[in-house]
Amino acid sequence: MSSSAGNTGGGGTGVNAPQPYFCYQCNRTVNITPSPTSDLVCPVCSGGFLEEVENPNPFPSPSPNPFFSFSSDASAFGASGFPLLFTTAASSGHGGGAVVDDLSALFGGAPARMSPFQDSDTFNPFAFLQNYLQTLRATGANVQFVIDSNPGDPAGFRVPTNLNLGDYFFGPGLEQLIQQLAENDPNRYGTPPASKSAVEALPLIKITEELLVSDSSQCAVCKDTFELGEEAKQLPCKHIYHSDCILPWLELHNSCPVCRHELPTDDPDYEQRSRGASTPANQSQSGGGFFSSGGGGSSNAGVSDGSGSGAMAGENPQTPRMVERRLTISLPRLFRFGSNAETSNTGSGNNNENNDGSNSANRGNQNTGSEPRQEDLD
Amino acid sequence: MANSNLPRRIIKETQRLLSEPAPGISASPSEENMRYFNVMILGPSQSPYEGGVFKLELFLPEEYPMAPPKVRFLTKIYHPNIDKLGRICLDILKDKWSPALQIRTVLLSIQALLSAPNPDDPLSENIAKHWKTNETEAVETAKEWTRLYASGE
Repeated sequence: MSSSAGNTGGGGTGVNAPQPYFCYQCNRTVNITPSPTSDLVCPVCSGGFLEEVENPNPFPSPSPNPFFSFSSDASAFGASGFPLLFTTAASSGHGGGAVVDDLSALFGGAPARMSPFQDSDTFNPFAFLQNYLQTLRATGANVQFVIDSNPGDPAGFRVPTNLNLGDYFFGPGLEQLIQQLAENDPNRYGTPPASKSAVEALPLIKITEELLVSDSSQCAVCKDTFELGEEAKQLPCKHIYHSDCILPWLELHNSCPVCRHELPTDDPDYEQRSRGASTPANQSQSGGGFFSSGGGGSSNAGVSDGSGSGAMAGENPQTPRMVERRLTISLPRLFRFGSNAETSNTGSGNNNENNDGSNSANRGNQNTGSEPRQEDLD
Repeated sequence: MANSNLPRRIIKETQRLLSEPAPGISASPSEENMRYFNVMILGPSQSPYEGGVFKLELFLPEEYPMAPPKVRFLTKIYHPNIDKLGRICLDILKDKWSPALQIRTVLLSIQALLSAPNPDDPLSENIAKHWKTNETEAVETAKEWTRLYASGE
């Protein structure tokens, strides 16, 4: 591995001929003419972390990168290994999809076999890919390129010049990985968060003796019985909860935990879909229209302004809302997942029920820090 | 470390699960991690799973009850809504989760799912297809699997 070892090894034969070295700093192969008097230096970055290339495949073992596994370790995702590269609709045959098995078919007359280090100083992505795929096939992987021809792009498929295969996922288990990622984000499921204005407008009621003997003597979230004189938040459907119990939930979803009655959201798309499917468009014109089931109607007149009644004017009855929720994965959400958990934890530890208005405002602020979904819509 | 700071609701639920278990269901927390439960569900009578003892694992994530518990069958089971990894296709474990639900209601729902397989919302395509094209035969397979894998050691 050390550069000097490689140097002495090759020293006898071609002292003056440039030789391919892999520079771990540039992550590319460079040609260097080794000199017996000075240390090897990468001509690009002047770094010294170089390895003489003996194997024409410059890629180090795939193991360091968990996303870059094409070996048969399907067990990592726990399932049936089916080989795939990109799963995009190879069989659905929509539009001009093409399955290309050999890169030379894409590039016309390009030579099929070409060492990436043959004669030029520059990295040749085509040769590299070709070579790499051959290595993959040799190890038994079934590699297919599925390329959807894009009608908006007359030039068709182009290979990015700075292609780094390490950015892509190879091998079995892609679908499992996607599912696993999706399942690990609880916020992905269910309805969007309740709108901040609607949450702020929720009335705080005092627990009366009457309430304590009724069905709603218990907070359905923490399962504790309310105490006389305690204050609780009441949703428009009349269900009551401790502030510390319901507010973290409404930051995630707009539904009543007991009856699923939905509060307005700050998500115009969602509003359009759900209102369009269920209520006539002109309902959005009445001030407190969302709280149609009662509750503090007049005092909540301001509630609807946050949720964009303009967006709701266009009704869209043909789109049922649950069907619309798509599986989209963006990795950053995963990282937010951790911070979300923290905020909701600290949130439930807060005990400022007496100071309700600023409480929910604070939550709102905390929230914009960690929940970009709302940030976008503000 | 996992057991310090266990929310009161989880303690309450655990106590009640142990003191008043739901019929045909047992759930007990692991000693090392109070958020991890070993679950057993008896196959409901009048179902292909009758007579079977099905082991499951249930985990309460940090976000619980704002996020649903994670539940998985450990015992192999032939059911259109349960895949070969034991994952369960059940709306309340996903988008229909509500913090008003709890371990007990989740497990009762899973028990009900055993009584009422739903091949129209499948997790195992093959089993669902089997169920739809030849229900009698699919039920036979489910019974066979129950005998083979869920007869309780």
